[in-house]
Amino acid sequence: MNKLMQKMMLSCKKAAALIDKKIHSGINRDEKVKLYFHTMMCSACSNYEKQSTLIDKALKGTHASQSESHHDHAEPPEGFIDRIIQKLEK
Amino acid sequence: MVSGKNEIITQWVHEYSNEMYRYAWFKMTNREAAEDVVQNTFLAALHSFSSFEGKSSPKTWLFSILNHKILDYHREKYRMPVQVELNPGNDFQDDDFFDESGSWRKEARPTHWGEQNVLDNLDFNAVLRECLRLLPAKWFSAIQLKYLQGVDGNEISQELDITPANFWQILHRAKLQLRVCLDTNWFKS
Repeated sequence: MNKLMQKMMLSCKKAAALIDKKIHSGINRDEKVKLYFHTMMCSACSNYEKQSTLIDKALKGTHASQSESHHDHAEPPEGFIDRIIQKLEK
Repeated sequence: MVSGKNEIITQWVHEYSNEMYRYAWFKMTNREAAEDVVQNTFLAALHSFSSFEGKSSPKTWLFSILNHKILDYHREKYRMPVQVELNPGNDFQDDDFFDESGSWRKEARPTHWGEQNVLDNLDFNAVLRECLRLLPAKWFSAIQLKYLQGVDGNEISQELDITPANFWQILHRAKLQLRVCLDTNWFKS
Protein backbone atom coordinates (compact mmCIF):
# COMPACT_ATOMS: atom_id res chain seq x y z
CA MET A 1 0.00 0.00 0.00
CA ASN A 2 1.56 3.35 -0.98
CA LYS A 3 2.06 6.18 1.48
CA LEU A 4 -0.91 8.22 0.24
CA MET A 5 -3.29 5.30 0.73
CA GLN A 6 -1.79 4.61 4.13
CA LYS A 7 -2.50 8.19 5.12
CA MET A 8 -6.09 7.92 3.93
CA MET A 9 -6.82 4.59 5.54
CA LEU A 10 -7.82 4.57 9.15
CA SER A 11 -6.30 2.08 11.54
CA CYS A 12 -8.81 -0.04 13.45
CA LYS A 13 -7.77 1.79 16.60
CA LYS A 14 -8.73 5.13 15.04
CA ALA A 15 -11.86 3.68 13.48
CA ALA A 16 -13.10 2.30 16.77
CA ALA A 17 -12.52 5.69 18.43
CA LEU A 18 -14.43 7.41 15.63
CA ILE A 19 -17.28 4.93 15.97
CA ASP A 20 -17.79 5.90 19.59
CA LYS A 21 -17.28 9.58 18.84
CA LYS A 22 -20.00 9.24 16.19
CA ILE A 23 -22.38 7.64 18.67
CA HIS A 24 -21.76 10.13 21.47
CA SER A 25 -20.88 13.50 20.03
CA GLY A 26 -20.99 13.26 16.25
CA ILE A 27 -18.27 13.32 13.59
CA ASN A 28 -17.62 15.60 10.61
CA ARG A 29 -18.08 14.64 6.99
CA ASP A 30 -14.44 13.84 6.38
CA GLU A 31 -14.42 11.48 9.35
CA LYS A 32 -17.71 9.94 8.21
CA VAL A 33 -16.35 9.09 4.79
CA LYS A 34 -13.12 7.60 6.13
CA LEU A 35 -15.05 5.55 8.66
CA TYR A 36 -17.51 4.32 6.07
CA PHE A 37 -14.77 3.00 3.80
CA HIS A 38 -12.97 1.38 6.70
CA THR A 39 -16.03 -0.48 8.03
CA MET A 40 -16.91 -1.57 4.49
CA MET A 41 -13.64 -3.46 4.37
CA CYS A 42 -13.13 -4.43 8.01
CA SER A 43 -15.60 -6.88 9.52
CA ALA A 44 -14.12 -6.48 13.00
CA CYS A 45 -14.83 -2.75 13.07
CA SER A 46 -18.19 -3.26 11.41
CA ASN A 47 -19.00 -5.63 14.28
CA TYR A 48 -17.67 -3.11 16.77
CA GLU A 49 -20.01 -0.47 15.41
CA LYS A 50 -23.05 -2.74 15.86
CA GLN A 51 -21.94 -3.86 19.29
CA SER A 52 -21.08 -0.43 20.63
CA THR A 53 -24.50 0.80 19.48
CA LEU A 54 -26.16 -2.13 21.24
CA ILE A 55 -24.23 -1.44 24.45
CA ASP A 56 -25.28 2.20 24.23
CA LYS A 57 -28.95 1.19 24.03
CA ALA A 58 -28.50 -1.28 26.88
CA LEU A 59 -26.90 1.38 29.10
CA LYS A 60 -29.74 3.81 28.36
CA GLY A 61 -32.19 1.07 29.27
CA THR A 62 -30.68 0.36 32.68
CA HIS A 63 -31.10 4.00 33.54
CA ALA A 64 -34.60 4.33 32.18
CA SER A 65 -36.11 1.72 34.47
CA GLN A 66 -36.54 2.97 38.00
CA SER A 67 -38.25 -0.01 39.51
CA GLU A 68 -36.35 -3.17 38.65
CA SER A 69 -36.85 -5.18 41.75
CA HIS A 70 -35.63 -8.54 40.48
CA HIS A 71 -32.14 -8.25 41.84
CA ASP A 72 -31.37 -9.27 45.45
CA HIS A 73 -28.71 -6.66 45.99
CA ALA A 74 -31.16 -3.95 45.06
CA GLU A 75 -33.05 -4.42 48.34
CA PRO A 76 -32.11 -2.01 51.13
CA PRO A 77 -30.16 -3.41 54.08
CA GLU A 78 -31.62 -4.18 57.51
CA GLY A 79 -32.72 -1.19 59.56
CA PHE A 80 -32.44 1.16 56.59
CA ILE A 81 -35.66 3.04 57.27
CA ASP A 82 -35.03 3.25 61.02
CA ARG A 83 -31.64 4.81 60.46
CA ILE A 84 -33.08 7.49 58.22
CA ILE A 85 -35.77 8.36 60.75
CA GLN A 86 -33.17 8.51 63.50
CA LYS A 87 -31.11 10.96 61.48
CA LEU A 88 -34.14 13.10 60.83
CA GLU A 89 -34.95 13.34 64.52
CA LYS A 90 -31.54 14.73 65.46
CA MET B 1 -45.62 18.52 69.82
CA VAL B 2 -44.16 16.95 66.69
CA SER B 3 -43.92 19.53 63.93
CA GLY B 4 -46.00 18.98 60.80
CA LYS B 5 -43.10 18.68 58.40
CA ASN B 6 -41.37 15.95 60.41
CA GLU B 7 -44.49 13.87 60.29
CA ILE B 8 -44.89 14.39 56.58
CA ILE B 9 -41.30 13.55 55.76
CA THR B 10 -41.36 10.49 58.00
CA GLN B 11 -44.35 9.33 56.03
CA TRP B 12 -42.40 9.92 52.81
CA VAL B 13 -39.56 7.81 54.19
CA HIS B 14 -41.92 4.89 54.63
CA GLU B 15 -43.51 5.43 51.28
CA TYR B 16 -40.57 6.14 48.98
CA SER B 17 -37.23 5.27 50.58
CA ASN B 18 -37.10 1.65 49.35
CA GLU B 19 -37.68 2.67 45.79
CA MET B 20 -35.17 5.50 46.14
CA TYR B 21 -32.61 3.07 47.51
CA ARG B 22 -33.06 0.68 44.57
CA TYR B 23 -32.74 3.57 42.13
CA ALA B 24 -29.59 4.83 43.86
CA TRP B 25 -28.10 1.37 44.05
CA PHE B 26 -28.42 0.79 40.32
CA LYS B 27 -26.67 4.05 39.65
CA MET B 28 -23.90 3.60 42.21
CA THR B 29 -23.62 -0.17 42.81
CA ASN B 30 -22.31 0.58 46.29
CA ARG B 31 -24.69 -0.25 49.16
CA GLU B 32 -23.20 2.15 51.69
CA ALA B 33 -23.08 5.02 49.22
CA ALA B 34 -26.67 4.31 48.17
CA GLU B 35 -27.87 4.36 51.78
CA ASP B 36 -25.96 7.57 52.50
CA VAL B 37 -27.32 9.33 49.46
CA VAL B 38 -30.93 8.43 50.31
CA GLN B 39 -30.43 9.53 53.93
CA ASN B 40 -28.93 12.83 52.81
CA THR B 41 -31.79 13.35 50.40
CA PHE B 42 -34.31 13.20 53.22
CA LEU B 43 -32.17 15.49 55.36
CA ALA B 44 -32.03 17.96 52.50
CA ALA B 45 -35.78 17.64 52.05
CA LEU B 46 -36.27 18.44 55.72
CA HIS B 47 -34.08 21.52 55.49
CA SER B 48 -35.62 22.92 52.37
CA PHE B 49 -39.17 21.74 53.03
CA SER B 50 -40.47 25.28 52.77
CA SER B 51 -39.37 25.43 49.14
CA PHE B 52 -41.43 22.35 48.28
CA GLU B 53 -44.84 24.02 48.56
CA GLY B 54 -46.56 21.05 46.94
CA LYS B 55 -45.71 22.28 43.42
CA SER B 56 -44.83 18.80 42.16
CA SER B 57 -45.52 15.42 43.65
CA PRO B 58 -43.37 14.53 46.68
CA LYS B 59 -41.92 11.62 44.74
CA THR B 60 -40.80 13.84 41.86
CA TRP B 61 -39.27 16.34 44.25
CA LEU B 62 -37.43 13.69 46.28
CA PHE B 63 -36.10 11.95 43.18
CA SER B 64 -34.88 15.24 41.81
CA ILE B 65 -32.85 15.87 44.98
CA LEU B 66 -31.66 12.26 44.89
CA ASN B 67 -30.50 12.59 41.29
CA HIS B 68 -28.44 15.66 42.14
CA LYS B 69 -26.77 13.91 45.03
CA ILE B 70 -25.94 10.87 42.91
CA LEU B 71 -24.47 13.20 40.30
CA ASP B 72 -22.35 14.90 42.97
CA TYR B 73 -21.14 11.52 44.12
CA HIS B 74 -19.94 10.54 40.66
CA ARG B 75 -18.32 13.93 40.09
CA GLU B 76 -16.45 13.51 43.33
CA LYS B 77 -15.34 9.98 42.49
CA TYR B 78 -14.21 11.07 39.07
CA ARG B 79 -12.06 13.83 40.53
CA MET B 80 -10.38 11.62 43.10
CA PRO B 81 -6.80 10.61 42.36
CA VAL B 82 -6.63 7.10 41.02
CA GLN B 83 -6.14 4.64 43.84
CA VAL B 84 -4.11 1.50 43.47
CA GLU B 85 -6.36 -0.98 41.76
CA LEU B 86 -6.92 -4.21 43.66
CA ASN B 87 -7.03 -6.13 40.40
CA PRO B 88 -4.54 -4.41 38.10
CA GLY B 89 -5.51 -6.81 35.34
CA ASN B 90 -8.87 -5.10 35.04
CA ASP B 91 -7.43 -1.70 34.20
CA PHE B 92 -7.16 -1.92 30.41
CA GLN B 93 -5.03 0.38 28.34
CA ASP B 94 -5.45 0.89 24.61
CA ASP B 95 -2.56 -1.55 24.07
CA ASP B 96 -4.69 -4.36 25.35
CA PHE B 97 -7.08 -3.98 22.47
CA PHE B 98 -4.80 -2.89 19.62
CA ASP B 99 -1.28 -3.74 18.47
CA GLU B 100 1.46 -1.29 17.42
CA SER B 101 0.05 -0.93 13.92
CA GLY B 102 -3.37 -0.07 15.28
CA SER B 103 -5.06 -3.33 14.33
CA TRP B 104 -7.24 -5.34 16.67
CA ARG B 105 -5.37 -7.87 18.76
CA LYS B 106 -6.56 -11.39 18.04
CA GLU B 107 -8.16 -11.89 21.45
CA ALA B 108 -9.94 -8.49 21.40
CA ARG B 109 -11.18 -8.65 17.83
CA PRO B 110 -14.99 -8.22 17.66
CA THR B 111 -16.71 -11.21 16.11
CA HIS B 112 -20.37 -11.42 15.19
CA TRP B 113 -22.92 -11.36 18.02
CA GLY B 114 -25.82 -13.49 16.87
CA GLU B 115 -28.24 -12.72 19.69
CA GLN B 116 -29.52 -9.17 19.39
CA ASN B 117 -32.76 -9.32 21.41
CA VAL B 118 -31.01 -8.94 24.73
CA LEU B 119 -32.18 -5.50 25.84
CA ASP B 120 -35.23 -6.85 27.72
CA ASN B 121 -33.46 -9.92 29.02
CA LEU B 122 -33.06 -9.68 32.81
CA ASP B 123 -30.07 -12.01 32.93
CA PHE B 124 -28.29 -10.01 30.27
CA ASN B 125 -28.89 -6.82 32.22
CA ALA B 126 -27.50 -8.49 35.33
CA VAL B 127 -24.34 -9.42 33.42
CA LEU B 128 -24.10 -5.85 32.10
CA ARG B 129 -24.36 -4.46 35.62
CA GLU B 130 -21.66 -6.81 36.80
CA CYS B 131 -19.42 -5.72 33.91
CA LEU B 132 -20.06 -2.09 34.89
CA ARG B 133 -19.06 -2.88 38.43
CA LEU B 134 -15.73 -4.27 37.21
CA LEU B 135 -14.76 -1.05 35.45
CA PRO B 136 -12.09 1.12 37.03
CA ALA B 137 -13.83 3.63 39.28
CA LYS B 138 -13.19 6.67 37.07
CA TRP B 139 -14.59 4.96 33.99
CA PHE B 140 -17.65 3.74 35.85
CA SER B 141 -18.32 7.27 37.02
CA ALA B 142 -17.89 8.59 33.48
CA ILE B 143 -20.46 6.11 32.21
CA GLN B 144 -22.90 6.91 34.99
CA LEU B 145 -22.56 10.63 34.43
CA LYS B 146 -23.19 10.23 30.73
CA TYR B 147 -26.27 8.08 31.06
CA LEU B 148 -27.85 9.73 34.08
CA GLN B 149 -31.02 11.33 32.85
CA GLY B 150 -30.87 14.85 31.59
CA VAL B 151 -27.12 15.42 31.83
CA ASP B 152 -25.52 16.74 28.65
CA GLY B 153 -22.02 15.61 27.60
CA ASN B 154 -20.65 19.12 27.28
CA GLU B 155 -22.12 20.03 30.64
CA ILE B 156 -20.31 17.09 32.18
CA SER B 157 -17.00 18.17 30.66
CA GLN B 158 -17.41 21.68 32.00
CA GLU B 159 -18.24 20.41 35.44
CA LEU B 160 -15.23 18.09 35.56
CA ASP B 161 -12.95 20.75 34.07
CA ILE B 162 -11.70 18.47 31.30
CA THR B 163 -12.01 18.80 27.57
CA PRO B 164 -14.95 17.04 25.93
CA ALA B 165 -12.35 15.07 23.95
CA ASN B 166 -10.89 13.70 27.17
CA PHE B 167 -14.30 12.67 28.37
CA TRP B 168 -15.16 10.85 25.14
CA GLN B 169 -11.80 9.08 25.28
CA ILE B 170 -12.56 7.68 28.70
CA LEU B 171 -16.06 6.74 27.62
CA HIS B 172 -14.57 5.00 24.57
CA ARG B 173 -12.15 2.96 26.69
CA ALA B 174 -14.95 2.02 29.04
CA LYS B 175 -17.02 0.85 26.07
CA LEU B 176 -14.10 -1.23 24.74
CA GLN B 177 -13.80 -2.98 28.07
CA LEU B 178 -17.53 -3.45 28.49
CA ARG B 179 -17.64 -5.04 25.06
CA VAL B 180 -14.95 -7.55 25.98
CA CYS B 181 -16.68 -8.33 29.28
CA LEU B 182 -20.04 -8.92 27.59
CA ASP B 183 -18.37 -10.90 24.84
CA THR B 184 -16.74 -13.23 27.36
CA ASN B 185 -19.60 -13.53 29.82
CA TRP B 186 -22.65 -13.49 27.62
CA PHE B 187 -22.21 -13.92 23.91
CA LYS B 188 -19.51 -16.54 23.98
CA SER B 189 -20.83 -18.70 26.81
